[in-house]
This record gives sequence, C-alpha cells and structure tokens, in this order.
Amino acid sequence: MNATLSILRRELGAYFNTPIGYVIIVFFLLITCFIYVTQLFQAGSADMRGYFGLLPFFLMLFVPAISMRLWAEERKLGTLELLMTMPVKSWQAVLGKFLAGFTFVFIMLALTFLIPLTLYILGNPDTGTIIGGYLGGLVLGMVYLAIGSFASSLTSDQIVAFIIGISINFLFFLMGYQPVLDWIKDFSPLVSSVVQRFGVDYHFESIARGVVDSRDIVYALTITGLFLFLNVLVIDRRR
Amino acid sequence: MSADILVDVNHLVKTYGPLRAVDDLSFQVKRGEIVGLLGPNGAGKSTTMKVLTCYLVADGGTASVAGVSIDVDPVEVRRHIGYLPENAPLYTEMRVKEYLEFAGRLRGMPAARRRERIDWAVKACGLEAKYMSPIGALSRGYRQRVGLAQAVLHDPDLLILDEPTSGLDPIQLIEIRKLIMEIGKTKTVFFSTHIMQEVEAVCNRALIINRGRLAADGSPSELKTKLGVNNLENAFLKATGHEALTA
Repeated sequence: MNATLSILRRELGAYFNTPIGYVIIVFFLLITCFIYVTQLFQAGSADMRGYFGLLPFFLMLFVPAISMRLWAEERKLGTLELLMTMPVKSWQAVLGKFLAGFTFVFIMLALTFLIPLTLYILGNPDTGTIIGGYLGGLVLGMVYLAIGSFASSLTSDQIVAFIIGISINFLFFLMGYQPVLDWIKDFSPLVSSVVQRFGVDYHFESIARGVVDSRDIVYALTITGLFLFLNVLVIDRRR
Repeated sequence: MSADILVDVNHLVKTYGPLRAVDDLSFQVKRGEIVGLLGPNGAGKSTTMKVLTCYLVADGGTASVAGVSIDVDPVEVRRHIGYLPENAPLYTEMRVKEYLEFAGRLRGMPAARRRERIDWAVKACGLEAKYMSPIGALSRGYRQRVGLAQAVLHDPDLLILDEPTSGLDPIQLIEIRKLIMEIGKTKTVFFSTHIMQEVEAVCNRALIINRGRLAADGSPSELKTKLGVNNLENAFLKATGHEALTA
C-alpha cells in the first residue's frame, strides 16, 4: 500500500510540477463552461441537464489527454526501468498511477463548482440531479481513465496513447449509439440489445438526469477492473 | 552454496525474437568483489543486468542474488540490489531531495532511516550543493551522482551499474570512480564499462562478454597473462576475436 501511495503522490505532483496539468484543466474549464453558459442563456432554465448531457463527450476527449503520459512518458524517458526494478509489484504501480489520474479528474471536475454556484444564486436548482450528475461524471471519468492508462502502457509515444485511448472510448460510445444499434438490429435484435448494454451511453444517459443506478456502477467497475488488469498484463509482458 | 557467493548465474539465455542477446552465460560474483563487465556494444552486458535486476525475464537458465532466485521472488531480489541503468534515467521535474525521498519510500524505508540514509547518500555522492535543484537542471555528471545516490540509499548488498561513467568529462570520471571504489570497500559492485583504465584502477575482477557469451573471466593481471598480452585493451581485443594492437 505504501508503494501505491508513494507512486500516487509522485504522479500527482508530476501533473502539477509541469505545465501539462494546468493546460488541461484550463482548457477543460474554458470549453465546458463556455458551452454551458451559452446553453444556459438559450434554454433559460436553471439546471445542469445540458451540461451533464455534454459532459460524457468532453470526458471522452479530455481523459485520454490526462492518462496518455502515465506510462508512455516513463517508457520514452527510460524511467520505467528504474521504477520496475524497485521492490514494487506491477499492480501497485498500475493502481498508484491510476489513482493519481483519478484524483486529477476529480480536481478538474471539482473546479467547475462555479457553475452550480451561479445556479444557486440565480435560482433554485435540484440538488439531487446535480450531485447525481457529478457522480456520474466521476464514474465515467474513472472508466475512461482505466482505458486511457491501458492505452498509455502500450506505447512510448504519448500522442499514440492519446489516439488509442480516444478510439477505445469511441468504440464504447458506438456500442450505445442508436443508428449503430439499429443497423445491428437488422441482423439480430438479440445481439443488438447485448451490445447496447456494453455501450457507455446506455449507462450514462440516465446520469444526465441525475439518476444513478447500481447496475451502472457495476458496469463501470467491471470495465475499469478489466482495463486495469490488462494494464498490469502489458506492464509484465514487456519482460 | 556458500554465503560467500552473492550472484550466481547459470546458463542464462535471453532472446529478443531471433537474436540471442545472452547465450548460455554462467558466472559467479563473490561478496566484496568489484567486478567490471566488459564487452563490445551489443554483447549482452545491459541485457544481463536487466535480467539480474528482474526487469526482464530470462528465456532460459537461472540466476540468483543473495540466494534468492530471479524466477521465484523477483521483488525480493530487487530488495538486495541497487541499480543504475544506462544514462541515469531520472524524473527531471523532481528536485533531488524529492526524488531521493520517493526512492526511499518505494524501498519501504521508515521515515527516520530514510532521513538518515538520504543524508549519508547525499554526502557520499557529493550532492549537498544540488540537494534542492530540479534534476532537469543538473549536468550529466550530477545526474549520474543522483542515480548512484538512489542506488546506494537502501544499503543494498549488490550494486549493479550500467556504464556509470559514460559521457562524463575527465574530472567527473575521477569523481565517480572514487565513489565506486569507496562504496566497493564495503559493498559488492558489478558495473559495465568500455574504459580499460577504469577496470585496471577499480576492479579486482573482470568479465569479458562477447555475443552473449563469456569470453574471459579473471583479475586484470590474470587476464593479461592468460591472453598473453601486456594491457587490457589487447586482452579485450584478443578475447573478442580481434588482433591485438602492437603500438
């Protein structure tokens, strides 16, 4: 546990000791808040439904940018060799880095607090849906992070890690995308409904409304666990 | 196996696809020895070290460090080793202090011992002036010293150093060599180099590797006698199948 925490600390420090962390956060806040504010004035209602509806897409793009450096940079710099010759088990390193990335996602989402704050000042928003929405965002961030961390472990090039991460995220998105499901339904309605359940949209569409179902949490934890496991395999396989 | 033998390598094999980087390599290192690993580039020196430190898995043969086999308990093996890879890869955005703290934590050292050992390592490696510097701002010589500090931090039985003097200027070279000799007084050191004077000056034993196999093994003077030459350069050349230089 000590090793995992040490790695978590170091990794989180690395996000904030270099420009990368700040750039990602500032960009994320700028874009999401801008989109939200324009929507707010168009829709004229004091809630975050529009925001939470778009959040999955932003996370799909931003989280791979957060995770891309976790393993790829160490490979490129050669520091992976020192890390993996310490008396540290592979899963401890994988978990430590993952948790650091997750903490970063948490901070990034937490910094959007001004949005709900302005809503509370302007009107009387539903707290439940807001909490549910943020929770869903965190859980989705966790899934994308596990995927992105796995992608990062496959290569020494951060850009490639980013692209692989986005591609896998997009694949999961497609599995819940209606036109794709309709197309599959033409061949087999059974396969279509099975595929749908793997899709991110199926589980997180309800998040936008602030409804968090335990089945969605199970889905998220399973996908996260799967990709973390694959991550450990890849790190060990290089041997 | 006597407690005397720290490293025991038996018929080690490591392949990268069709290439046999380490091809049936066997040798032993006794406690207290300072062993120089010589060989042409691509001979398998780094690969041997990566297998010993359990960074890579062997494709054949066995090896053990302090009696612990590398296939049975790699994490335990790593506890006995202080390793410095080629080019001292370090986290450039960290300060020396932070980095050594991190290394100490990863080694499972409790706070008091960590502080004590970091103080010692910083002094031993001459890093007092650079303690608060970001590693990225350090010259190669100083980075090498930070790498060495991290390797000796937990007081390991065995130090494995991959070309610790490569790329250093003459002054830095002497400093690092002095360091290795100092550490070698109480620890077992296993390092690779291309510089023959280093081996003569520092090592009491040298292993010459060529194409993944052991070409020669002995003290510098033994090697010169065995190969019938008057200096180590020629010993190296003859052992690797080349003509000795007469000039």
